[in-house]
Amino acid sequence: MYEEATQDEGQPQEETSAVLLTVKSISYSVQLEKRVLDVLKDISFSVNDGQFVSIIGPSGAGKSTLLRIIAGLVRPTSGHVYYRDQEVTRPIKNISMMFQNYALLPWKTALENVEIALYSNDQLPAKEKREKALKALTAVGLSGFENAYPGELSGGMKQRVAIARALVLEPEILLMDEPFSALDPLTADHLRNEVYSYLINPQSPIRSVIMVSHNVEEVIELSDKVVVLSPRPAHVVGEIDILLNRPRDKKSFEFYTYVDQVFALLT
Amino acid sequence: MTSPLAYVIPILVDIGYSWWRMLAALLLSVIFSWAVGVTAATNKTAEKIVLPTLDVLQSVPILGFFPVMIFAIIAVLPGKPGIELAVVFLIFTSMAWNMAFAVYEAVKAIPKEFVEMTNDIGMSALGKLRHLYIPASWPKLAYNALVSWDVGLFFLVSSEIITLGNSSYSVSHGIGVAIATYAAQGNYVAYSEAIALLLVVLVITRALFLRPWALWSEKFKTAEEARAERPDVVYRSYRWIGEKTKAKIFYNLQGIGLIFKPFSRAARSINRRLGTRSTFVGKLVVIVFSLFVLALIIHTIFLGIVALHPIFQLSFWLYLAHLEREVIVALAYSFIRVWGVYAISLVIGVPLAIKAALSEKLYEPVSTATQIISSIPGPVLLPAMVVALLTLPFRGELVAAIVIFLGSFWYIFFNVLGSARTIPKPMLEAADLYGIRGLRRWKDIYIPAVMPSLVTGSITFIGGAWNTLMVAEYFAVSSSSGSVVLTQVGQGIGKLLDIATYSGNLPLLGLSIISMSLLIVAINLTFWRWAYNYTTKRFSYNV
Repeated sequence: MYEEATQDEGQPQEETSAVLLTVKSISYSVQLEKRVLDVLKDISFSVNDGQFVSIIGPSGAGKSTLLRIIAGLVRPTSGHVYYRDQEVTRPIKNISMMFQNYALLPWKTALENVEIALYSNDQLPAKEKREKALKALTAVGLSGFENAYPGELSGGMKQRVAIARALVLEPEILLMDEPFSALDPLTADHLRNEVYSYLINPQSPIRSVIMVSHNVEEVIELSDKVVVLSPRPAHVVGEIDILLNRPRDKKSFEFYTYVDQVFALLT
Repeated sequence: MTSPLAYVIPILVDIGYSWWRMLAALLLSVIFSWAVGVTAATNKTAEKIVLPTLDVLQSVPILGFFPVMIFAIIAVLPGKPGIELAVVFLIFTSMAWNMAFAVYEAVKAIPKEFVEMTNDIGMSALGKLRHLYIPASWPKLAYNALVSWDVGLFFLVSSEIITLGNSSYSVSHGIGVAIATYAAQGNYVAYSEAIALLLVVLVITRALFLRPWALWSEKFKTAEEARAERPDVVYRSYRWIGEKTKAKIFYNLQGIGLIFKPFSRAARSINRRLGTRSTFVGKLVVIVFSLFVLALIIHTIFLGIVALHPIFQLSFWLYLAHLEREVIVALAYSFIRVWGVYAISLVIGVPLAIKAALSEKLYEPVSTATQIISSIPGPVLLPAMVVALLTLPFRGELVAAIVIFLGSFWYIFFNVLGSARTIPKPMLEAADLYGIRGLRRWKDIYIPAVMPSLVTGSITFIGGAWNTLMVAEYFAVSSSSGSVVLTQVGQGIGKLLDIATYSGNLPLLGLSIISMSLLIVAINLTFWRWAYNYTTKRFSYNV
């Protein structure tokens, strides 16, 4: 069962600088047959309310592991993750995750795939679960596809079902593991802004997003802050705040200044 | 003389009895497979215990344990219900292991992200079982159930026949009972009718139950699986039979859905109840159940100690040593019998299967025909053979050899057929190009190509053959006028087991089973393990 984090209803909306999530000195190592392999080393950063934060680093650096630690799916070797004032030691309702290959059950329809996120909620009657799932599907522009199976949907549509499933739990923080890597580059390019608008809008419950990616342009296009990781064992080599207006012009000089900055840190 | 039609109803009643046993065993096997397969796949400690256990259980001759099972179960539950339970349990032991392996493999193959996703959305263990593990295991489970059905049928008939040797253990109804009794009475009209009706019911069961199940389970395949997996020989044959019999109509009725709906509804209500109310009731159920099982175990151990008191005397051990000599001689005879029939099966089966697999014209009809023939449980033909071979010398040996052959030949045939089908086309084209023909083609292309599956088939052949011995080497029917021995060999472990069973000689029974199991497991661990490793390494395409 979830631990419901108490939410201060009276808190004014303007206070966007409040810290929503803190990652504090996270280290993670795995025991191999003969030696200990350090994957993550002393990683700290924070996510403010309203921020879209990306974690970028070379492949194999342990970005996905870091995301799973934040989600409470994997326990770190040392260090802590705090959601507001509450330590995250297992999955909580206010943090939801979207998986790289979307993890849609092939034997369930789009609607059922969204609905399963609500199954463990005993207070909610079955009819309301269905309505909520339908609403989430509509919010990502998939009304009319409720009864389609994942095998019958395109890559972009599968991604939106996964978004709907993450949204239906009404989390404050959404974690995305390489959300665009399962799509072909052309589709991904097309969908980025659309996905952003599904997540960050006045109706959306989501306040902050943490995305893992290895695509520099994608990260600059979407993020308010980029956390750059080094190769294994990964540690933070830099944090860059992206201060560009949205929608962002990928051909602009400022955009490329940021791209160069990230590349400089990566190499 | 009674009209031939007069037997139809009694025979159908007998088949009904047999089918209830089969379905009960299948249901038990499915539940067992989920419980054990999912546990082993999701828990490392359980995995270490379950896999080797299943491996051993799969390789010991289960049929030999049947008499002990009857004794044990009747001690707890006397009379007809006990025997009935023993038969169902025996069929279960022939069906369950490969199905449990199937579930284990299917759950193991679930991508990690799916499990993480269920954790992320806070799904309960029961929810994971229902929405992830069980659906993901359907395709493999259903396919293995098809295989298990055939194996189970053999055990069903065998166990029914074995019980007939001693009137105090015999089941009163069943197709095996009917066939053996008609044969003992010399009523060959009824006997042939029984076999014909069995065949008809068998085909109907496939069309109406097993095939729709396999088709229905296809929808649980992930997109990648559906693309990658070529329908195998057995499945293709089912499809072929299905199309010929227009079983599509039945599939559209979705009979299977009607069977499973109530279960899923019940599961949902239990799920809801356990989730919403306090878990006190659930705990209570578990506690009461565990206490019951514990009491049962203590009761059984107590009975065992009472039964075992003679083991503290020297004379008992001398007696055992004397028996063991007898057992070893019998084992030697049976060993030669099994491996002799194995050699014959190789000579017939391998060329036949390769020829059929490589010929586009022969493949479909041969695989379909052999599917049907192979599903007839060998023991039902036993009485007919006894009569047909009445005047021949070595009648007992011949009958035994044929029963072993009928029971096990298919393992070699279908394995070779399947792998010969998948010989890469370029390999055959290269052979054509370089003019590799005749004997050389067999020696250099075909035989090496099928070698790994030939070994797999051989392991199952030998395992199956030991299992058939109890019916092949000795066949007796008891009636009100005393028991009639229809056929027997000079010496053999199967015969010894039968005699020990009917005379209630528990030490002889125990020694026979243990010695036979040890011999089989030893050969498996040494020779077959080596053969398997060697051939898969040496004859694999992807080197």
